[in-house]
Amino acid sequence: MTRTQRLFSGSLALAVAAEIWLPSVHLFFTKAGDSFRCASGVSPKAHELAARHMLMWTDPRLKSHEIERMRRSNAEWDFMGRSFLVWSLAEMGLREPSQKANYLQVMDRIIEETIQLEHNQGIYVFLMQYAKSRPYLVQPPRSHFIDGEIALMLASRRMLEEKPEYRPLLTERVNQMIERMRKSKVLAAESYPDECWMFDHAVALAAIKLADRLDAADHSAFFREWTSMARRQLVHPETGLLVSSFTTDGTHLDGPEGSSIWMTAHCLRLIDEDFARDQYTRARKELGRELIGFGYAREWPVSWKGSVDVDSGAVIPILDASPGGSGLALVGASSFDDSHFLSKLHASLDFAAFPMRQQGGLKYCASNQAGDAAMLYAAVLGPIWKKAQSGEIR
Amino acid sequence: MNAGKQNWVRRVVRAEFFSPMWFLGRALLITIFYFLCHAAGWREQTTFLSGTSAGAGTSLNSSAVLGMTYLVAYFGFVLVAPIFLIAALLMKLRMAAFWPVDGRAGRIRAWNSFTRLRFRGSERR
Repeated sequence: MTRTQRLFSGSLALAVAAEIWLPSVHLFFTKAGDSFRCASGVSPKAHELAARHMLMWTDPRLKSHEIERMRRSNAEWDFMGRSFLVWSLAEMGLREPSQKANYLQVMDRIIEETIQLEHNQGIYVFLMQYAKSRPYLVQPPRSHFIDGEIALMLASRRMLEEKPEYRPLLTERVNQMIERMRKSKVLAAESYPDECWMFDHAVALAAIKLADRLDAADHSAFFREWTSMARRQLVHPETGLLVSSFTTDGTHLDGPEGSSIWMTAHCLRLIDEDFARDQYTRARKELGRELIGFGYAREWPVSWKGSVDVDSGAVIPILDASPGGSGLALVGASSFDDSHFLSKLHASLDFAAFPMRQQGGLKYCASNQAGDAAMLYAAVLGPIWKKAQSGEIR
Repeated sequence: MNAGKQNWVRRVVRAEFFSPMWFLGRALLITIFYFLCHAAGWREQTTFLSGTSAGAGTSLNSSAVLGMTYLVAYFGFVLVAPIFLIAALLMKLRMAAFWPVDGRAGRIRAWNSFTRLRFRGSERR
């Protein structure tokens, strides 16, 4: 065979081989639907993920290692890792009543340590450095990011089991958040100086809703007012998706973002189910992608070009696949029972996030503790929202 | 290493470009490279994808270099090596089917009709 013939023949064989292999790869990574998330109980994967986190919160050396390496890049991740874990354990406690006592113990430890850190070192302990670059417009400085997530931690804990000491703490956070939102014409409170984030507002609104259910309060008029304002002023015109960040006067800073919209849609389910579902459907169309059997999420829609940042993670060129967006897409797909997309995202997770099992626990090497906690949340979310929507509290 | 093994290694290393043995050899090299990276513990360095370094004593840049190397090795092992193996198998099958030992003077009709190429029997190895 001449060299040309061999090259031609080899190229043809390569093309046929790629045509056979590439569409088949996902079959090795696609698992049964309930291996990631079960309708009732806790899936094996969620158990493995939770085991790693529970170990972390009982082994000071491991905890310090994980937290230090995240804080070197972004102090927010330390905080978000705590939040997602507490929210997850609350969901797991409702799914597995026999384990409730263990989960409550870890939840309380995290909540108390987090509040203590905030109390001793101020809000900046969980914020990025630029939070100090200029003063907050509303004084004294508070971050909606921190208030919202701590409020949702307290509320989730109380949804699992009442703890009277947490009631005034939650009420105080809720009042602070509403008061600060009321100071802006677009009901926006700062997470960073004159920088408001949709993710934080959605979390805060969900926390207020849970607080209403727990303490027989009623902020439904406030929710309607906020939703109506958001539909008018905080939507990206080309996609109809909520923007990810804006100033206190409603000027858009960023367009829609994958690392924001999925969690936003999930939280808005408590406030306005139809609006939330519409946002999920749009996000799925604009950001959700599938390729050779794997699912992923873009960080931005085609009509908006943003820059790579700490939220997006390292965006993969050409595909525009965002690790941050794809991780949180699991939350969206899980919340809206999009089992098809959830299964594709789960396959990608096992294919390209590099799972590693140690001491009965599971972590994803391409992620960090905050990312793993968000994945755990995606695997177990449901019972708290269901309980809040049904009005059943005790 | 005995003579048989030496011969085999020589055949793989010196295999003609895009021949079945070349594909097989490259698939093996990729596999060995992947297992070396895995054994070195570089899987953990892929945490750079989340913007986090692997440890408090490791810089994000060094995590990125080692993590990228692991990514290349992993995707080479999972995506490229199997394609090379299938390609090698396809070429071998094609040769077995269309290149009979006694066909030195003949034409490879089925293959030619597919590729529209005419091979000379004397060029066969």
